[in-house]
Amino acid sequence: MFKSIKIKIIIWCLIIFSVVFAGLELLLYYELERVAIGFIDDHMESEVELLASILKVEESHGKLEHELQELSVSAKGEYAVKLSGHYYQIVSPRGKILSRSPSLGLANARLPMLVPTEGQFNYATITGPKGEPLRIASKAIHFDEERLIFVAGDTLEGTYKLLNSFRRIVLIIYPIAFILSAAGILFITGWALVPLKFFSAKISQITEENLYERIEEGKTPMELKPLAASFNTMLGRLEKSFERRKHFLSDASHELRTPTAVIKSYCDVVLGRERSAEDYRKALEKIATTVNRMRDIINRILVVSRLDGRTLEFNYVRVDIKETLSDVLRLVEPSALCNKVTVNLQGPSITIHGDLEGITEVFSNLVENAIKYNRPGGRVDITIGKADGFAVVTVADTGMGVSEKDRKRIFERFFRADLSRGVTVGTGLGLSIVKAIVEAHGGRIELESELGSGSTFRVFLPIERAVDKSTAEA
Amino acid sequence: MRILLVEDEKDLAAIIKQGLEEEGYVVDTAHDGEEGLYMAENYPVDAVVLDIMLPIIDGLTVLSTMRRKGIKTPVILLTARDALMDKIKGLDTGADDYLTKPFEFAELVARLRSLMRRKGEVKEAVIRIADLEINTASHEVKRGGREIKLSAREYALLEFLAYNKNAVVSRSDIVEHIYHEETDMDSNVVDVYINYLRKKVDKGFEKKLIRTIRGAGYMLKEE
Repeated sequence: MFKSIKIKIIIWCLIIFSVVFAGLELLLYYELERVAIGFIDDHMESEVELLASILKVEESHGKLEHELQELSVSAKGEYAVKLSGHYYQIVSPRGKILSRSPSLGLANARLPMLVPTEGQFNYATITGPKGEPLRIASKAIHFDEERLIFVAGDTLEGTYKLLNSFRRIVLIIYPIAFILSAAGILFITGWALVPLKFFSAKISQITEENLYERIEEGKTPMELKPLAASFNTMLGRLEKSFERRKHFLSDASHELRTPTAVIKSYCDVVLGRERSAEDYRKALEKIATTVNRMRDIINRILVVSRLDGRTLEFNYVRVDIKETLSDVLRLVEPSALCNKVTVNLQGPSITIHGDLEGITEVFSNLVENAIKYNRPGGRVDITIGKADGFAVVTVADTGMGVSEKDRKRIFERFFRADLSRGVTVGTGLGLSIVKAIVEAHGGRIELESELGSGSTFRVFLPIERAVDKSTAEA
Repeated sequence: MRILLVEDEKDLAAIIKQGLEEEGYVVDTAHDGEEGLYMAENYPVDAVVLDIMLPIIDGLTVLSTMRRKGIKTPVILLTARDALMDKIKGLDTGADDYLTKPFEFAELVARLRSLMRRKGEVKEAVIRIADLEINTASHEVKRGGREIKLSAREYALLEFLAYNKNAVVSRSDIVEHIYHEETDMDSNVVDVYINYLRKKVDKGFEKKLIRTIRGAGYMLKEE
């Protein structure tokens, strides 16, 4: 579940929302409290200043003592109501109450003494005489005779009520806002993920059968375009390789059908009636030869598919090209004699880094072809040379040559040129294997040919081992 | 019956030829399209077994060239591919039948027989002329319900006459369709075999089926 982008987005959004919302509300709450209390503090300050200014006037008239006593009597309004929540008292430094508001006097209560810092108001929040939260402010003011301490108190009940209702509102609003924003985010993420859903629906429709289909890049949103593009590229590659596999499979089965038909026909015809032991022996010999041919075809098909799937392990060693070619020549000598073809080998001894078996396969295929498709009394000239870090082996024959049309296709699998001499022995895989091995070594193969005047195959093999393409790409 | 077999795979051509000859057919073989086309055009063959993948000229081109030149000889295509499009293409080009390698040899023979019947306007495997019955599948011949034993040559001659029943066939027709080109055959030999056949088929029966048309040849006729 936590792998879902949608859920992740929702969770993160809600966390951010909660933190921001809670932070904002706390800030608002404390700001509100500060302002409200500040308001009360201001009020009390002006009360105290007012009292003090009255007393200053009376002092100049020498009536301070009298006035202090008068003060509580003349107090009106809230100060006159017992425990109204609005109080003041004036205290001597020794703690004697010189005057207090009737609201205190009637209750016979007193406000706690604060020892204020000189010339400044000091504040405190305490529990008032009737148990209410009370804000008090006190200030010491100098008169001629003595220093008097003024204390004013104002109830915080109203303020706390305000703050409480604010808290209540926040607690009601918070879940509603939470649910609303969750729903909003749910909707938005769902909406944002619609193209992805479309994308995956499209992808899930693609099977082996309709690899030709593509995702329309024009219709995908900008953010998904690179994904669509690389997906399409991948589809293209898959399609090509599937196509090649299919083609290969059909070619391979085609290639096996002909020898199968030979065996089948021999069995059908020979078993159709009683025959002599000699006839059976001849038929079995024919079948055996054909089975050998089929085995060769199957082996080569395996080599090709392993080369394709890169599962063929090359064992890189030092390979002396001239030595390898000499070995190959010894192997093909009987067939050269049989076809009355002279084979020449010349050039220096060059050592390259390569797979001995693979290189031998390359050379024997080329030399065998040069002999097989030669004219009687013809020549095969093999030359070893060097060019730009490559060992170059040239195999030139005096055979019938390859037409321009066929030159392009001769390295394709199962391709066989139309051969007027009816030489159709072989699998049609040899040259495609040669090409694959040479390319796996980081080399290349070229063909120069003119119909009627022979063919020249040129193999370029790097002297030092080339970096494997697949690892270089990775 | 004379068959032209065009197949580049020499082993396959050799065994099919052997099998067909054992079935009483005369078989000419060609190993490429050019040779095959030449033989189809110039030899009096009754049917062609034609491989599609051939050197020089491919089978379908051979077939379309034959049809364009007005050669109506029935053709069975042989191919190593069994893609439907290949079959359709082959039949559209003018093939009469189609076989995919590897095939049952008996099926090839049955299809050839069926082609022969179509050509001679005979629809069944058993050809009936009056009370004479020729089973082209089993090579059994009966007259009036009694079995007649014939040699391979005699049977081939009777079958050829039966496929062309009620029509005159010349001595040279018979030589060309019943005997291989390599056998140097005097047309008098035909008369000898006709005599053998008459002894086995007509002797002792009131109704004589094998008739000599003076100056033209022979005919197998119901009346």
